[in-house]
Amino acid sequence: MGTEDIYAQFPRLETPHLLLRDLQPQDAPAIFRIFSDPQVTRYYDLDTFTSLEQARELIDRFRQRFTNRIGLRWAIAHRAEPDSLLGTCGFNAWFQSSHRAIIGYDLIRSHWRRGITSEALTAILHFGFDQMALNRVEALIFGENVPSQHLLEKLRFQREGLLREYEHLQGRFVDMAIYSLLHHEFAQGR
Amino acid sequence: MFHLAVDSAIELGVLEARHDSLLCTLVDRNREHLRRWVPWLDNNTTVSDSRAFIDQARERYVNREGLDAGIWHRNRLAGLVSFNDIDWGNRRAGIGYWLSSDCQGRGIMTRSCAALIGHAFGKLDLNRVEIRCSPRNDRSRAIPTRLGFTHEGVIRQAEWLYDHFEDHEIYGLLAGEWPTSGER
Repeated sequence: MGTEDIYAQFPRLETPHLLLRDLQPQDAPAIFRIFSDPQVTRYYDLDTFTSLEQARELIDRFRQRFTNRIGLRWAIAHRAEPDSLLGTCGFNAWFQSSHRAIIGYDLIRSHWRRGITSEALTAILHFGFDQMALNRVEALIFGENVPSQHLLEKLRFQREGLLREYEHLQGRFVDMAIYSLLHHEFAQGR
Repeated sequence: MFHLAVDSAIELGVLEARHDSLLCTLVDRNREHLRRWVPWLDNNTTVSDSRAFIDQARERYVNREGLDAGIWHRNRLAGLVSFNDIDWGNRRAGIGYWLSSDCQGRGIMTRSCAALIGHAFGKLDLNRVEIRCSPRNDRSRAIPTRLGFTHEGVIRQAEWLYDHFEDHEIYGLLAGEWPTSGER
């Protein structure tokens, strides 16, 4: 499969416990449950949701990334229940000519610390390095978000630096830690 | 269009269409020296390429997307200094630059960058300016160091340069860290 074909049909991925599928309009209530939790949006470039409409808009935005060939966002579902939704993850931006992509992810709080994000990210990293011909996967994490940084370190991402006051989010400038995983490092760990 | 007098010897200004052959000659003269550091040389070989660059630069400036200024040293074009991708939402911009080899070693780029940074934090009201350059490019790295930037990290394999990936050192400077003109 050439990398141009990735955008032809949304790729479904399976892991031992999870199904990664495309987001659907009917996922709005589940998306709302995730993003109406201030603990989830604390380190996210979104305000805490107060209406279902915001969930619909986010789903539209995620789906448009794929239609507009900017990136891919998967819904994370239980493998046995394809219509369930625990969170989302994906490549927010894919720079095909430089073989680079930026990842992002979120998960409903009731399922934190069970290895779900790690399992989902491992699957999309395999997909990214093998099918999308990525050389570098990058993540920008709030400097204060230590658990998320630990997660990336567990996946053998390397911390490259702390970009001071890099983004203006939720009314203030925030430091962002930058992490990356290179193709050869990922291949070594297999 | 943007114009800034840096000091008695240096002026910065957005290039005009009539400068196309001047720019093309300067790029040509420095082709080999620049090849180690910048990715755009093979797409810039003719006067019409230079003309296209100037047209795009003017459009970017008008749209407030960026700023590419020619550096005029004693009325001769010496190089370019730019704000790449001004991010108005996060109020930051990256600075990029190159200088003709026969103009190096005289502080021209340091003074030009200082003037542009003053413009960024003053008139543009940005909060953060960053400079990215190759770890091997000592001359380039000296500029943010001299201007008081903080070294924030190394972006690995950040850019494809003709036949290999190049790392980028990243340097950041915040508005609050920049002395006002009185102190400088």
